[in-house]
Amino acid sequence: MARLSIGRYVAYDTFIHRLDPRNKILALILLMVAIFFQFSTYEVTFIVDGILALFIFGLMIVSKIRFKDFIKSLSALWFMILLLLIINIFIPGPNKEAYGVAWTMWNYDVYWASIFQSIKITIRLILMISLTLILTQTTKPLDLTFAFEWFLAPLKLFKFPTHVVAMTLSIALRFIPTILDETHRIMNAQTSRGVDFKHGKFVEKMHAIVSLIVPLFVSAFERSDELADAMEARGYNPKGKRTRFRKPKWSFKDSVSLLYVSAITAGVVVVSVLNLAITSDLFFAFSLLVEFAIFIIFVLIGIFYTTFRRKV
Amino acid sequence: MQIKFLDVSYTYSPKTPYEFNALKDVNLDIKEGSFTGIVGKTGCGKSTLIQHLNGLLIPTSGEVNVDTYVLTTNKKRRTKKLKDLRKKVGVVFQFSENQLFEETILKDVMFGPLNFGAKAEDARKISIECLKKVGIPESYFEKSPFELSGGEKRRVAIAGILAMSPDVLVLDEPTAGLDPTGTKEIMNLFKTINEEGKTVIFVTHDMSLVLEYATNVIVMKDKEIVKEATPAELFIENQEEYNLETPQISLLAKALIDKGLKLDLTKVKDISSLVDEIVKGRAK
Repeated sequence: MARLSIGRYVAYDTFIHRLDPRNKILALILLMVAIFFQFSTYEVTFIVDGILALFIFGLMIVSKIRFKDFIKSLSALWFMILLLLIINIFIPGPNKEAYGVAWTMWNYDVYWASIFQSIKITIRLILMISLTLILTQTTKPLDLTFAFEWFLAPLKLFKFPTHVVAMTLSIALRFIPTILDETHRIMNAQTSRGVDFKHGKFVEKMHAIVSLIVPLFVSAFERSDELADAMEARGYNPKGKRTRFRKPKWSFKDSVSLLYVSAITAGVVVVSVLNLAITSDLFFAFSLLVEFAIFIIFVLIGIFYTTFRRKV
Repeated sequence: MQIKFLDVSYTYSPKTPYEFNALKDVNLDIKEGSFTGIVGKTGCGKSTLIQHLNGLLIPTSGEVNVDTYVLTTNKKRRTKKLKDLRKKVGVVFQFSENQLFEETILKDVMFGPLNFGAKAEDARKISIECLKKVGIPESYFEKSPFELSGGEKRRVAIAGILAMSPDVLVLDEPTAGLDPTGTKEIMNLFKTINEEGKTVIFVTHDMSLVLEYATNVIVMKDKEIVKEATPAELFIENQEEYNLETPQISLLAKALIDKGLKLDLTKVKDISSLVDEIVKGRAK
């Protein structure tokens, strides 16, 4: 139970926790757009990414995400980083020579550009994972589905069953912790039968995983059958009109924080557009200045806003 | 295999909002060859206690000694390789029917011994033996475990642990969901295993099983051990403070004593021993 808590809602009461889920999803999308914007040079890329990273790590501190959870959520990434590096080194690309040769092995030139490219993607992946971690750890699954259904509302015009999709999603989200607990239980049982999930050769590990996956699937299917029966027994009708017990309310702080996030994204877009238009040292300095200015201004607004609100 | 708990405390998810203290300063001594029942309300820490026995959980403070194995947070003292410990202490968990996964029942039972390095032939032999012990007929051996009923699955899961030939057998509610005959059969099996000299520890909510089979009983309440006694001692006294039900047999015996019969309550374990006592009482 204790070991597998990644992606689970953690019930603190922070500023981020209190935001409207719709706001959080919008902000997530905006920030992801900002993260994946392209720039012509790696210097600009790394600086913009650095600024975004500062902002996102700030968010993580505000929302009280434990560093341990963050590291755990990245643990699956190491393999991907390695793969990226290898692919980038061996795939030829345009302007690879621009940053020179890092080193030569067996007469093969490894360019700095390929290494930068891998670092760039890695940073972006880490930022993306941190964002989703913030979202899932600060938002109750039910609130998430509410936001999801709200965003799907326009599709109702085309007779799209938004409620059914939202219900499916909310059930899926609801059962993640249950299935994690079940995983833990089965792991305990198989560990008692001599399975070692942590060490061992690849083949042994695969066998260990099978002994976990099969019972997990079986119990998941059984559980879904039981749930369907229970829902029908209580008269669930997918087409029925439903009300909600708790409705998130869009407040003033949501508008402000969304504005803040959109400004950051807008700043990144502006820098990117200008950067692609003119690439010069002067511009480089200028774009930095703009981005930093936007960042500082909004930090000031944020500080001012929170202190101001408290006084009133 | 002596089992000793020294001031054991355990906390789930420490330093988070989910922090939960499940065991508090538990001191315990389980003697080799005993048949120990652990009783108490749901959520009093029984299952957590059990997971300490084969090193699935390491106490957050205190120390667990099982034979020569030491479980503690102290890095210098604690035993590194827990696999041997897990071979010696076999644990059958609650809902153990969910742990089956192989294509055939026989293969599933062989899984444990094979993991602990037994040869395929030996594993097969002991698995067949264990399956017969738990009352699974030979015609079932090549069936898929998923075709079985809940009770049969439970038996296969128990056979899977027995096949590892552990020195200590730990069972978390082994009879939940079994019919009365099945319960009796499986408890008698544990009794035979105990008589072979192995330590058996079981968690249960059924007090009549405790009275009938256990030689020792541990009562838990609110994360602590509140009483260690023999079942007879426990049920003679008023055990209402621990929220335990008195077995029907004890109630009947007590009522008979109230009516003037002379019975030795420490010897009343099940119907036949009660009958013996009544006969003896009348002979006097």
